[in-house]
Amino acid sequence: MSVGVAPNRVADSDPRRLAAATARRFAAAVDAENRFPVEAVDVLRDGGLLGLLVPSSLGGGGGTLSDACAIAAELASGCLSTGLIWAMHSQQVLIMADHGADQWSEALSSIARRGLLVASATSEPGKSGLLLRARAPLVPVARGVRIERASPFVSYGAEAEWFLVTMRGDSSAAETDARYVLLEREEGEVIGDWRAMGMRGTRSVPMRFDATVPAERILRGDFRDVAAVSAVPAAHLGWSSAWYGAAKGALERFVHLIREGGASERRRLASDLFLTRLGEARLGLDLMHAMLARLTDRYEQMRAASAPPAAYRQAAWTIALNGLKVACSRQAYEVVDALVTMGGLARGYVQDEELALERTLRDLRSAALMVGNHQLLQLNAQQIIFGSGSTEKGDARTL
Amino acid sequence: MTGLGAIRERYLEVLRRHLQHPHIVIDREADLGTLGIDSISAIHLLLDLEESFGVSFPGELLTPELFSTVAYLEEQLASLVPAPA
Repeated sequence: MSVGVAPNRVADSDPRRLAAATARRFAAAVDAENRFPVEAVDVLRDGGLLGLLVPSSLGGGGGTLSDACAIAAELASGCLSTGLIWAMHSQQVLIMADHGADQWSEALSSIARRGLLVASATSEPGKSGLLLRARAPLVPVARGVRIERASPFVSYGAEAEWFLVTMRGDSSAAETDARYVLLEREEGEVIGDWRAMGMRGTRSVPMRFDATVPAERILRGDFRDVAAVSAVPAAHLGWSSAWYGAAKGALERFVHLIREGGASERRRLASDLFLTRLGEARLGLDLMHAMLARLTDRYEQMRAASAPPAAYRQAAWTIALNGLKVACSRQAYEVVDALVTMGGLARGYVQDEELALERTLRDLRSAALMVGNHQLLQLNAQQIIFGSGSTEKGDARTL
Repeated sequence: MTGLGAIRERYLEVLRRHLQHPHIVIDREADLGTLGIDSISAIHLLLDLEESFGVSFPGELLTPELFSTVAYLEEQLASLVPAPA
């Protein structure tokens, strides 16, 4: 990939590559200024990519989640914030396209036509990161339903035009009885700032939603099916692709330094420990890639075969998908942490835009926190003991 | 001695330090692999040449072909050494 090589030369007609090069070029400024990566997202919009997952019958690109994952990795190799914004937007569009193609066809065409960003508001004060629960209830009123809810972190909340918000079915429903509601820009308000260790470009600001909307804005169908078929796979495959891409970009920049940095940089190769670490870093990337490729292919196979929602709830698949998120969030951080060690104080720890290891490490620190790894491991443990994971049917070989 | 002759002499001297049998007769067309240069010793040979001659091999030369034959590596090295004034 040439993205890490010439950060100041952006000349490419392929919008994917142009967006990746733009993301890389502005990554340092986005981080330093704590701002949204507007330049790269503009390239994605101008190239028609924000509608990639909108069905072609509605004017979109008709692409697959695998396509979106590949783009997430490419964008993240230069700027993890941009890669994750793309992955999160793709997740929302996939949910809408898979489950609301009829109900929300107008919104979907507007995303394709105008390149609108869709954000997600699932976080709630006092709630764990788990997607499948919601606290604030939908309140039925004369003209539809009333939505009143805070969300402490809404990535690109100030830049999105649409929001998929999770709400509890009604005030007597259990937290697990959740619904997706589609809200518009003016139905939410940004009520604070995003000041974080890394991932600054995602601008994950606190918001308040306060609106009365027609019932048509509530996604029909079983929320648990939406989660199993679309929301959870798109989150874990998309995020993991972005983390993989960030670590891959960091390693590529490091290798470029060794190859092109002349004899002085090459002296590092005289150390056997350095060579071992370099080999380990590549191994870490390949482990992530193997898992990602396997599960992305499996997901596309299930979709191509029109598998029923129950297939997406199988223990072997659930365990592997949760495991992918845990593994990639750890592994990507470890690879970049090792590169910081290899670069030392002079090239690893300082702000050095040629390698950008310091920023990438800060960004990747968030990976284990986005839906806590411990929660996913506990879910897996539950599946291993009580799910079909305890039987031959749940064995990873059956995937 | 001509400049090229001097380079060759020093080159062979450095190369011999990395061979399993430093005193063998070196065939200029021999594959460096058959002389005992494997991928790890190739790294050390490269570093040694860069230090001894005060040169840097550019990234585009860092391919397996660089170590194909004794003569090829010498040609690439000679192209990096500035001509004597």
